[in-house]
Amino acid sequence: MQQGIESSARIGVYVCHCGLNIAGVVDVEAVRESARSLEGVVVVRDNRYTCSEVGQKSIADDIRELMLNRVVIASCSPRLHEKTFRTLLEKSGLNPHLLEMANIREHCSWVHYDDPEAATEKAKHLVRSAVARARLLQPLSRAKGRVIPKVMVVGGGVAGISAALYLGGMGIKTYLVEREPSIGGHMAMLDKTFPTLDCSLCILSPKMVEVAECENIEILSLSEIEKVEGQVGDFRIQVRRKPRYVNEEKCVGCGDCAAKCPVKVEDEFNRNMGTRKAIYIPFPQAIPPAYVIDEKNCRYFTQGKCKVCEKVCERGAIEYDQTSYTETIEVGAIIVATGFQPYDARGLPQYGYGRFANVITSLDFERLICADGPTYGKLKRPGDGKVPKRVAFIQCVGSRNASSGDRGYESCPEMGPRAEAAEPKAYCSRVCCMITAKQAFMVLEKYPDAEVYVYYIDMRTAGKGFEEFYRRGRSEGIVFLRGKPGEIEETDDGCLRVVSEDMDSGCILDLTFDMVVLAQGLVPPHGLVELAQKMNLSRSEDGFLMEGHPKLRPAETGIDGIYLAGCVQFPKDIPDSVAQAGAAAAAAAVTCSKDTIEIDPLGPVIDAELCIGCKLCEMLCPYGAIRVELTDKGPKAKSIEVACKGCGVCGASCSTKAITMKHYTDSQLTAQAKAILEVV
Amino acid sequence: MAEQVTVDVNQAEGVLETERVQGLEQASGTCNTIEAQRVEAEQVEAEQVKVERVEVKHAVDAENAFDAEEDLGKEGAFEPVIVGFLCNWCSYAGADLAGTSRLSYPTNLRVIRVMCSGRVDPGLMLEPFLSAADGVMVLGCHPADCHYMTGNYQAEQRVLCVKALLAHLGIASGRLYLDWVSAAEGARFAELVAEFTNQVKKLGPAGCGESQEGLSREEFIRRVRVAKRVCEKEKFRWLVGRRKALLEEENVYGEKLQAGKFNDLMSFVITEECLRAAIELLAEEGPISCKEIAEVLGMPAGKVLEHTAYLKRAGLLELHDVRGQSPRYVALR
Repeated sequence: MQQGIESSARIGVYVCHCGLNIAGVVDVEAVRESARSLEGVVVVRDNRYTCSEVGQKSIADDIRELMLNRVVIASCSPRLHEKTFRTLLEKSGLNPHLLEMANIREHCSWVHYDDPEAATEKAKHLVRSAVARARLLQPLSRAKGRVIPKVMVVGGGVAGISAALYLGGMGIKTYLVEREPSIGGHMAMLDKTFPTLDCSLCILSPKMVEVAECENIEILSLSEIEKVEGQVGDFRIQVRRKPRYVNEEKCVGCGDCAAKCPVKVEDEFNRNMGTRKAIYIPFPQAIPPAYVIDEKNCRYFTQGKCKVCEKVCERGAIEYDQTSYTETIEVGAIIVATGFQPYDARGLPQYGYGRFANVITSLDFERLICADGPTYGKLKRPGDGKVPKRVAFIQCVGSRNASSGDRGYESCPEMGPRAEAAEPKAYCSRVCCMITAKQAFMVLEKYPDAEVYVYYIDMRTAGKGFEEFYRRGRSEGIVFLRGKPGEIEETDDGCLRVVSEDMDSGCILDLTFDMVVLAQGLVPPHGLVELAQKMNLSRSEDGFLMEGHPKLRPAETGIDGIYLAGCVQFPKDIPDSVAQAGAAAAAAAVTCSKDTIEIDPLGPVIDAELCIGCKLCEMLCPYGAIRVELTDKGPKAKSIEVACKGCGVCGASCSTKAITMKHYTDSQLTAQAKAILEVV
Repeated sequence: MAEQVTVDVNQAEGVLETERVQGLEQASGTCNTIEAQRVEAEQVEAEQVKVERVEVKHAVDAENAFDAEEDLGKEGAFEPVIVGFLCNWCSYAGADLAGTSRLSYPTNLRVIRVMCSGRVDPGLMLEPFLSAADGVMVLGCHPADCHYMTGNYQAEQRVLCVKALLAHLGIASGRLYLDWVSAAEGARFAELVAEFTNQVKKLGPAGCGESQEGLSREEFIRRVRVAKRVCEKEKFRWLVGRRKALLEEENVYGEKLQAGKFNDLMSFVITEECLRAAIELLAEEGPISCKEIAEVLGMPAGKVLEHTAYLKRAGLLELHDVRGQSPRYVALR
């Protein structure tokens, strides 16, 4: 520690060029010179790259040689490099909280490139303001928080499964939370995967079994996140456990119950194209391999009598008296892997999905062609069970058309307001081109004499082996037509007339097909908004969860200790989801590997003389982190450090201004506000 | 364009006149409710919309008037200075995104980072006006998205109340601005900055005879000081802090406070506290008698005496000496 740190400020100011990112617009030399005369400033330097080894060394040297006790860095956003420089200060023997950054890149050079003069003036002001604040900064000691070496993975699709397996393999206790009765997610619904044409469930189900067998992984099926509290290293999560009405331990999945169950309902796993019983298992390979009672349709739950399943179950696994309950689980890190939901193609009524029986979506197609599906793998069109000889695929349904999507919908007032999942999106869903290429291939595989057409805008085949796969499809006779059809009409025999403009030849094409498959996009899963709010996560403009940094922290979030895997961040294919799951698992494991975690000490300091015990702070604190307690001087507010997150609501509300927020004190902010406007 | 600006200022000035009338001089007389001020604020807004329409029309009319247009773009044009308090998690990140996306916006804004919009004390919102700011922005996370759960709601309550306070003092409440920007809304951030900059341009420089308030610099600063002092007052702070709960939650008897009632109460507190703050500030400059205070503030001496007595009891003023027959007071701060 430096001596005399509190007495007088010795400030070093470092203005970064950031190559030309800053220096290309802002006159860095002028900014440097303007800072020279500021009170307390001992040294001012400009660096080509302050974050580089050289830049950092010059700061470390100055701290040592010039006895600096405050550092101001004018460079990029503190959201990017505050940690880097705080570490530097710490290594150089200074308290990390004696750093202040002026954001002259994101908030200046990058947005005022059209006015260098004004940008330079603004940069000077930002630096002055940072110096003013730096003068008043105080060293703070960081409290240490405990780390619970456990992880919760939310979402049991391929991303969640992979993340859980990585973590379980490292010996970290992992809870895999899935809201459906079985893990597996959308991948379990697919027939084949591109470009290798592996059977989807054949490669997924061994992983699912591995999860079930891993002693470090606990699967919480039929469960949803209700509330998340705490911070990195120490989260408390309330999980709503919904009843299965079947004892998971006792059920062996023999299926006697379902065979005798008198209630038949549409099977959502088969996209409502087949039927299942009210007691059912979503698919034969389900994990946990236990049946589940659908209480909405079960005769016992709806009419009060039946209990046939209980009678036939030899193992006595049926438990009608199970109820929903909340379980609190403590973990050190969370991985969110809640995936996506397919775009609701009814949002584009011009294509007739939901009105024309033989217009299906790509996920419907997967079930239709799957050996386990409603037709046992025989590709038949849903309308009349005929074998389709002419099949068309339409690309970008719900993707890449935020603006053009509305025309059709407005013309169909009978459809009611468009659901969130039916809003066409501006982004490219990335996987649909390859899904279509695969599915077109599958049609030819089943019926080599079939005619297969693909209507597309662009074929996007970026990925290992993707382009080759697409070329192969072309050479085997799949017809690719550039141009998106405007509308589909149904003919009397249930066939579909598709009129489009072939963009390559300029001809108007008028073709009729037996079946049309809409390549539906991927949209954020239902419930994601609520989940994001519970965890305080930001969502990107597209509605998916926002990553910590688009390039360098793709599996992290803005919240320490919460990580992302799979499509919940953005649509991606299976290998990318698995890769991101690995990254998220590694990041979570890093958190769990620590004994303690340092918590930013941004809490309140209460002046007991001024405090009148009015309880306003206690009423407004969202975390219950400040309480009024009776002392010998009367009722006084007391901060509960571990619970406090440092928002500052108490400080800004205190009726007698008895509360000072550490690191964001009134005097620091006031000094900043003054200096930021001072005319130089 | 120069022509348009005049139209703009003239029209809006008429509306603002009402706000000005509520200035400190008349504070004791009328006790206008915040509700009324809100209605006026709406009128101002409606008027501004109208003004914008007029502008469009003029723009079409004056398509060939290049000279006028050039004038506004150059030296003479008023470039407001704006300070923004941005929360670390949403709005500051949104501003960063505007940067990484290279979205240009006016250079008028200077940003101060806070962890949460809920950290921005009512007094802190006014601080920049004492320096050279013409406008202050507070940006937070969207409702329900706050990183700290409810901080943004508190920011909203404070801005509403401080706006009422400013309006009471005859300062255009449009100089204070609150909005929500998520971490994904770089473009929205840039738009809001441009919008607010324009809004402040229309209001004119703070503390300048030609601004909408028509206050001199000295008088503007004096009023902001009064406002700032009020923001430190226990009564005001308590009402601000409890506003949301009082209006939205039921008490143990299952009753909710009506908005009108709250506004009456707030208006009363603002009126009283503004007067006391003004007296305090005068007494801080040196010994002063009630009569002198009454003269400076244009208030009945009896009213001033009443509040001076209160301040003395509260230990904020003390008797300094007696000159002639008048006791003179000084502030104890």
